[in-house]
Amino acid sequence: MEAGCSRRLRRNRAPRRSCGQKEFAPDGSAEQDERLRLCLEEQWRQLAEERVERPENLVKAVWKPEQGIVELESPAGKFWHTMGFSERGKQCLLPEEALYLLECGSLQLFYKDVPMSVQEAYEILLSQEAMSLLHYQVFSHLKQLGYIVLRFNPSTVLSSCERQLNLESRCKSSGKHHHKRRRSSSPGSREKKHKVSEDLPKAEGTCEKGGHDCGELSCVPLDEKPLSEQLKELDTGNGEEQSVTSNSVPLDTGRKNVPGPSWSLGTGDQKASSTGTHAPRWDFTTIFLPNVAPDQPCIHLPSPDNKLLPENVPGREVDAASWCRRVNQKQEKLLQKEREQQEKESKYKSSINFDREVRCCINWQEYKALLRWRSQQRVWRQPPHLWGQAVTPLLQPEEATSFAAVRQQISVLQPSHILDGASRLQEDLESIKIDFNVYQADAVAKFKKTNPGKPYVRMCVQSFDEQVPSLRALKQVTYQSGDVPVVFALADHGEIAFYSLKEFKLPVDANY
Amino acid sequence: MAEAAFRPPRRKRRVFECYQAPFPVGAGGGDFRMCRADMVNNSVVVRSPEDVERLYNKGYFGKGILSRSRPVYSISDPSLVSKWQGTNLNMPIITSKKYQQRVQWAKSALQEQGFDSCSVTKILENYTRPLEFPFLEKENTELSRQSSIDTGNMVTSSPEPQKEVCQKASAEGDLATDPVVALGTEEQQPAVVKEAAQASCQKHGSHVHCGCKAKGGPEQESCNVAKSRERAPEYVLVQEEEEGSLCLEEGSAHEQEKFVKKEKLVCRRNPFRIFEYLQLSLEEAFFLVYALGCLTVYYGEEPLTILKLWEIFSEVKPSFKTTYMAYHYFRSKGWVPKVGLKYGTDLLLYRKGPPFYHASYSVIAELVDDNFEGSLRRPLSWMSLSGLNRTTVNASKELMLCYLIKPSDMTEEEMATPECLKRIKVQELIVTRWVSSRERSEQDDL
Repeated sequence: MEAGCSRRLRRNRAPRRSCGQKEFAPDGSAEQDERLRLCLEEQWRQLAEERVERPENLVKAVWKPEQGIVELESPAGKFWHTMGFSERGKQCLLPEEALYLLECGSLQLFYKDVPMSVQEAYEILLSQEAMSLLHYQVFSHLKQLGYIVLRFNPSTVLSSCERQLNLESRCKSSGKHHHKRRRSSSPGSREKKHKVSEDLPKAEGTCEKGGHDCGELSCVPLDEKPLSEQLKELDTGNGEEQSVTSNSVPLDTGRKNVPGPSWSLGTGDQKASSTGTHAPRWDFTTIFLPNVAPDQPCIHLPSPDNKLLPENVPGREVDAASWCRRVNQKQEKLLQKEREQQEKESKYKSSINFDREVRCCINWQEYKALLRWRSQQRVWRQPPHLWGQAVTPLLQPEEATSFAAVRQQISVLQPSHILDGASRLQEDLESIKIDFNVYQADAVAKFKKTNPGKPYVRMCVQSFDEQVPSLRALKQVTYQSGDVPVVFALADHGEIAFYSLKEFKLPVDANY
Repeated sequence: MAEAAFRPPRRKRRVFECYQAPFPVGAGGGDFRMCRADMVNNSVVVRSPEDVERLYNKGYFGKGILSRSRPVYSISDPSLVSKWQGTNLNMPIITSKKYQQRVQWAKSALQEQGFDSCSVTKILENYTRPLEFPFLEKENTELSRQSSIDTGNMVTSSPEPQKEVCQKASAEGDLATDPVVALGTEEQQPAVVKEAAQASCQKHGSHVHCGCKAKGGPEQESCNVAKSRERAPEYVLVQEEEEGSLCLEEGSAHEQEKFVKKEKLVCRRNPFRIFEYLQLSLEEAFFLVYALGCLTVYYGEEPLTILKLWEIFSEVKPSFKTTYMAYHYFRSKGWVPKVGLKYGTDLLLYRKGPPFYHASYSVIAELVDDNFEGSLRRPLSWMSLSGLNRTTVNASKELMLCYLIKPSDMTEEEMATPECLKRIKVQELIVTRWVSSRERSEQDDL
């Protein structure tokens, strides 16, 4: 960049990658070769272009290797809104910020009074541990897309308690290089945190957020909802409902349905239940209720007992034959479909009333008792190779009353949440480091460097050849990040890909 | 920390089946039936057609060995069936060529058994003679259930344990008595069928392997029992040309008569039946035995206990315990896990079953200890994870990592029984790709 160069403010435009149809394979033709040659030439030409900037527009900055930062000599431009920090009265930039601005053409970087070329800057500024080439590539990629990218500082992460107590405003997270760990909560409140966490019962793991729960009952897992309900919710609520994911505690965590108090009288004796606690007035064994159904017509109705009637109401015996004739005793005419269904079913089903023993039951209680007795006498023998051993099947056949009950019997595996046990892993210093806090581009206007607030996402920069983090590392990182999602940025020779591994609880499909 | 959003499963556009039940155990205890499976060459196979139907229809367990998933193997040629729609006989229809193929196979099978060619021809001619339809009707009434199971879209299978034939000795021993007995009786004990079965099992090389031990005594018995169970031969309709249909017609062009061939259906017996079984994966079999108690796995004639099965399966497949834990977990959540081989993972999760919805998740299961680390079955680099993620997303599924956390004080002894499941915790993670560019459409990616 020469002083006094003619003013040709060229916008930086990357060479067009594609010119027309993609060439998949060489076909040996001269046209193809020509097209490729032109494309390459265009690229070289663009790369060879000189970048021109007004020297007056450039901010002068000096590289300070001892501190590993860049000091500005002239006032900062618009970038100061989202980048840079102040130290000892001077405006400074982090190496990656300086390099990025240099590449953008907003900065002129000097070292020992000599301006640095971009290549030199790459070599020199990125030689530190905190900021390697990989990190810088991610930084640059995100900045170009408009995100605000700041370095991650563990002390600025609020625990769930602090968040609850709305301590964000008090926590001054200006320090990119605030190396002191500042805990904005007073020691007193911290004690309270621990105490609260001890009091909480060792309940479902989904509740545990890094060990201190602070009585935050909002994270008690919701009752299971059948999948169909969830789907309905999703359909109506455009997928934003978080309740869908935080449910699905299996029924075997010991929560049995307590029967309602109004029904827990004895064994459900019907005489008692209908009238509460005092003695029954009616003796149903002596009261005769005639059955006038068409299959067992009882036409001759005797006179009712006078004791059962109100005072001025006489009773008399009746011959109900005439009435029965008037009652609609026509056979129900079924639709074709219904008839077919009935025919189909008659092959497999038989009316329960044909069962002599069932007919002997006069109320539900007896019928249930009969069923229970029968199930114990079942013809299926318990095969000894399954039931006579040390390990028996999980499902007791008599407990298979419904498919939901079956499912309950077989649910023996416990769920686990990503943050379970994560707090005890924090002593491990070998964990993956979070590198950046990323804030959304739309938030630029309201962005305050001194108080950036909660980031949109936090980035961990990884290399493509590295192993995917183990569950342990994942837990550590997730815990470290608080309630901000973590994304892994993989840089591969300039191409960046982003992946996240998110906590998930498969909902229970209870459609039966 | 955001949690992955649940995406509702995608329903298949055309559903041809009715949902019956999630498990082959009846709710209400009424409908209990113990199914039988056999260990054959380190895999679990169900032979009885009723059991096959029950296990597949209620919970979509297993896979037919001759079909894509549901055991629907039929010798019938669908194009011929539609062509001869008018004839209302419930028998498979095949071409003459195919039938002749089977005759050839049966012939070579008989020859291998040591019959001389004269008797081979005699046996086959007798067996494959055309049958009159009225005769069939008579047979049909008593075998109607059988044939209706045989034909159509049902499973055909033979309960005969086929590994008996691994030993030539026993096979020949059987045959010595069989043809004499068979040809004499009216019942036409299908010796040809039986040895056809034997031959077919030789064809199913992978299925019946001489490596498996054959016990002479009990198998002999069982084969006799099986014989009495499966006596009916398979009747097929062979499309053949009418005799005399090729006679020259006066005045017609020479080329034309070639196309004037009248065809008819001839009913014959199939001398070379192929039986389709249901093969259960180790996890499915163990689940049916341990969790539901509705299946018994036999090795020969010995029913295996749950502990023994756990041991055997762990030997056959070293990572069985891990994959079984994951399988059990997803089944207990009401999802149907099937094998994930096609997508390079362990399991595919379906809602209700493969016929109704597309698989929603592709799962990799890993066992880790209390410190959340462990030797991984599939150590993934970011490179391979992104490749796997790409193929999964292209198939409209989500990639799920399922970590099974076992407590550090769990001993080997404890792991030797399936009761260890009660102390295992499950952590699911969903892998998603985050698109950084501003134009990404879903704002709720995170």
